[in-house]
Amino acid sequence: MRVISCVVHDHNLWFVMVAAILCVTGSLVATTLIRRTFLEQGVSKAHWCFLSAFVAGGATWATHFIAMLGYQVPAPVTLDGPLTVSSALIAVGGIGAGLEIASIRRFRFAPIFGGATIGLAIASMHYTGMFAYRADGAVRWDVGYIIASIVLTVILSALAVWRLQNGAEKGRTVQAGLLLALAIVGLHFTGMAAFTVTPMPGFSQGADSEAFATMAAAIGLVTSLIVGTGLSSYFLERKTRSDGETRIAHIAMHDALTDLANRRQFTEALESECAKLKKYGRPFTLLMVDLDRFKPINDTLGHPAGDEVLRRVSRRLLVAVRRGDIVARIGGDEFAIISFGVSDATQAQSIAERIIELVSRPMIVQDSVVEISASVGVAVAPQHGTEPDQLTKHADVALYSAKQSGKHTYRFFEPSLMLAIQRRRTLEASLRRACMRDEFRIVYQPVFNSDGTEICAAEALLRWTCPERGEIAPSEFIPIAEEQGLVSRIGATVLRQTCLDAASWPDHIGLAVNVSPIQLLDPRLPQTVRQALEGAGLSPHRLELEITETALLQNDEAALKVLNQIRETGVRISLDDFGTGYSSLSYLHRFPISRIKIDKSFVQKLPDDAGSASIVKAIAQLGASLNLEITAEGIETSSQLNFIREYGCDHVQGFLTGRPVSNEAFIGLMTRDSVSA
Amino acid sequence: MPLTRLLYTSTSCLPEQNGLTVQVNAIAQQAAERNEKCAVTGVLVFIENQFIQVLEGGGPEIEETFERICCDLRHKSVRLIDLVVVKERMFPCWKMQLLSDKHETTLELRDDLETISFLVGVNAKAAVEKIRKCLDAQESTTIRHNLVC
Repeated sequence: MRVISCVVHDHNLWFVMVAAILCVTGSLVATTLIRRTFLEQGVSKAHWCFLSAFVAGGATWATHFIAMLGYQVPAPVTLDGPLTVSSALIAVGGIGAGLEIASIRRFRFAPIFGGATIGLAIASMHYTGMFAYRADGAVRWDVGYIIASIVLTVILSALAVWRLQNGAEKGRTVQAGLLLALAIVGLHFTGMAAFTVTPMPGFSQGADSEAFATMAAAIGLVTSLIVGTGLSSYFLERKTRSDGETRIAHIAMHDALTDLANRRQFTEALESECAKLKKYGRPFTLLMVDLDRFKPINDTLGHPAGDEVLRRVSRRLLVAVRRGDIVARIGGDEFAIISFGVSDATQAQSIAERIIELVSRPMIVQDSVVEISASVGVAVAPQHGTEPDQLTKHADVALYSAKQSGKHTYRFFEPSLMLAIQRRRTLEASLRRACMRDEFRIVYQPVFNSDGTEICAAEALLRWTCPERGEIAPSEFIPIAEEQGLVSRIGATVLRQTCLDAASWPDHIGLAVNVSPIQLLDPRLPQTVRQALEGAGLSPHRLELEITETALLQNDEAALKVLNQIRETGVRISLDDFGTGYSSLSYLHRFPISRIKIDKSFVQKLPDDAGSASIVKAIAQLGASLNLEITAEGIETSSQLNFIREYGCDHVQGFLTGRPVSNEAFIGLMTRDSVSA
Repeated sequence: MPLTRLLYTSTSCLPEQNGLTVQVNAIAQQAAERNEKCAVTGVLVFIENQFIQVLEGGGPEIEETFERICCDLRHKSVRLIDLVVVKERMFPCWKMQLLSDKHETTLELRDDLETISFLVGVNAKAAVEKIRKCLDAQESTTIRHNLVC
């Protein structure tokens, strides 16, 4: 009661209002800053602590001082300068100390003690201020109110700090701020209630209200300045920090080179899209894009040019997709696109087509013209999967298939593609096993003289029966063996075995063995050949190695060296499948070739197809003039045989004259031949 | 500063029902405005749904302009025919002159355009020279005021 009547009757209400406003705003700003202080450590904490202490101390002191100036006493009043100033310093220093205590981390009750210190600081400030206030009259203090005021402010301040540290996230700063304001105001007016002045008789002059009003205004302004500065610093810091955080978040989620989304953002987006698909049934499409012929750019034009190409490709991809789609760079030259809301194949197809079109357009990079293309694999959710892993895998399978079908194209995922890949995986594993266990069979196709009457050689052909998938054509398993690095090993086994077999044949029967381009690049090949011959005791002139043009294309210097070494041992070299590739005539004299084998695609069109007929004739003439032997492969009809014989091929080979058979059967064929001859 | 001349061809993807001439005019107009800012000059030839464009300017500007052209979905089958460093511009006064085959085109011009279309596939330099000749012929028949050299 006394407190309320003290506020209403003994104070000028205008002053009280200004003090209250300052107190509440000051407290709110102070708690905001204090909260920030608690989050920091080290030097930053000291800065924040300083700022908080000044704002809170300033606001407290100003509240007290302005309210006191508004205190109406019927007696003259003077103020003690040094004491007034020290009261302000006590507020700032005490609150600063309280904050330091409150932020001790290991101590559970730190906020309570810190808060209590702040409360004590406020109280000390108030009563020091009161000592500075000299009213010419009989001053009386009510000890009960003094104690009540101190207890009240200590409890409220402790509560405020505790609330700030432990309250619910939302609104805790405001709650703490109001508690602090209540502590300050409560202390002041309870403290003032403890104070009564009875004017001395004879003096009736009151306080100089005009001078006090000016002083109050000045203090109010300065305090507003302090509080405002504190608030500005807080917002400035928050802005800078959030800018920094935004930038860091951007860096974390984006590819530095192209500024596209990175793998992480892509993975998150894909997961969230899959979740949305399950929740709302929203379809989307996943496209995997891989650049064709990108690596040579880095090699020939340098990495800066390669990087520029990637940046251009990124921009073109952004043009190709629809607004809002996510384009991510997930690897060196791999991109992934999530196209939202696309469910039907036509839409996805047009996006894929646009990607391929735009990427394949020329680029001018550092004055050079660069032309690349893109392969795209498409998986549509939910048809092709609903889980991120599954969709990514399926889009990758589709991409692989696009690459396999000649690049610069797109493929949609199909379950059959999965089967093809599974088949390949099984074959890879079985092939590896077969290699360890020598599960290959060798068959021999007899090569006849052009009459078709006499066997003069045999071509060794490799056969493999996969335990799981049955008979596999060499055209399927040889590329796998090449890719898996098994071909040299298989080749060596074949050479050894065939030489052994051939050693038991009559001396005039030659042996032809195919050598893959990969084997030809292996510098150990001449040694392997020599060992096979020596191991079997086979004369080198009976062996002929068949190579294809592709072997010479890739690295002709290395191939030439290997071939010359082999030729020196007496083994002959023949060029297989002649006429289908580049058929570069320069190979014929640059390389130590002694035989050309005309590809069966020409032979099989004989004799009716005029074009093939001319080609076969031309090759035969070429062989005659270059002193090369000619073998025609794939003879199936007697009219083909007649044609070949007429144009002077030396040897023939084909189903008409003899299918590939086992070694035993081949030996049988030769004995029957010699018997009939 | 070295100058670059670029020649490319492409096939239009413009929807025919909206009036091709209007659309092609708009493209040439837009190009002219852009080119003025980066000192790129040239000619756009449009014949039988095919664009043939010559661009002249500084290397980086040409690179940038061509990249923008390559990001445009209003055409397809973009083929870069020629990219050469030249001493001087062959089209210094044309921001992006349009030569196109429209209804009111004279028979002579149509012939010329067909020749250009043929030459582009055979000899880039001859094609560019023919385009220049064609422009000069046009200039002599129609007096143009808006060209500032």
